[in-house]
Amino acid sequence: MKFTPRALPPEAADASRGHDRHPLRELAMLVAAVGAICAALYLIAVLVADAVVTRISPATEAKLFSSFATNLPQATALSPELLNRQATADRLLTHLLAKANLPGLPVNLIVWDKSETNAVALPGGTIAVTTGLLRCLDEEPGMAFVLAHELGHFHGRDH
Amino acid sequence: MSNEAIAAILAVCLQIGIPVGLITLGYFAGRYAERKHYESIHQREAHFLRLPAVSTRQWDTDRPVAEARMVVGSVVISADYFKRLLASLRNIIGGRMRSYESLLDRARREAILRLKEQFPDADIIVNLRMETSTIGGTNKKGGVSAVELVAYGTAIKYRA
Repeated sequence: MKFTPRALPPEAADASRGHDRHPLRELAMLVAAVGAICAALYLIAVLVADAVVTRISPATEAKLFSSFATNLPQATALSPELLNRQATADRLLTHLLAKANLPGLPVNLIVWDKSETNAVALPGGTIAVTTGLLRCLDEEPGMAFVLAHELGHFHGRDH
Repeated sequence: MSNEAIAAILAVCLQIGIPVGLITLGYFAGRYAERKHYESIHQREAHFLRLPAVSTRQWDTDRPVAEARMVVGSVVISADYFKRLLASLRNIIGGRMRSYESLLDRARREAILRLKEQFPDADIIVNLRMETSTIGGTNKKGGVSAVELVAYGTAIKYRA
């Protein structure tokens, strides 16, 4: 057989050298694909969480998430005035709970050592009020308003 | 703005800027190197078109041989950060790793050209073999991703 020299046409070699698509287009497609996968996974996680959370009974919730409250830095040495306000808040909460219609969820109050003025309803039936909130709320209705708001979270199961 | 805020912004800029800078550098430098390399490959391939390199072990054994010489061509080509980014993204969803295919193509053609350049006066190169070796771990962290290729064969020069 006789050898005839023949050059490879440049376009025929493009596929073998991976040049049949511009690298930036390749990057855009890959980023889009990976982004779509991440978005889909995130969406699935959200849907699964939504579906599961509403099926957890208050009693199971208290058992599963009781550690949330113990993980917060709790105030230890409060001034007599703040201790007094904490006692008022405790008393208010007992009154509110009697009318709150929250069966199966033991609600308790802790003081979170944080200067920011805030209160949160934690999973597991704990209401945390910050020391900053205790400092600025000196009237009973204000504290009752905050506590009732947090109880509303437990009632709506949206905490 | 406080010093802490400036330090935080600087840290974020460094954390994002260094990889982005390396990838951009890889894109431009890598494309420039690849274009130059392909120009050289096309030119030399045209020059060596008359010299066939084949894998056969049978050739015109009737013709008297003036000289037979073993020829070797070895090539190592490094990947750049941009190619690596494309490859690692491709790893997630699967498919052709186009960014590495060009490296392999360049290495293969360059190795054959170097092998031919060792004996430019030969009439044919027979028994051509190609092998890859691994001198830089491509998967291990801190390893160098590079394509390594060795081509070897027997160059035959017939008696005139």
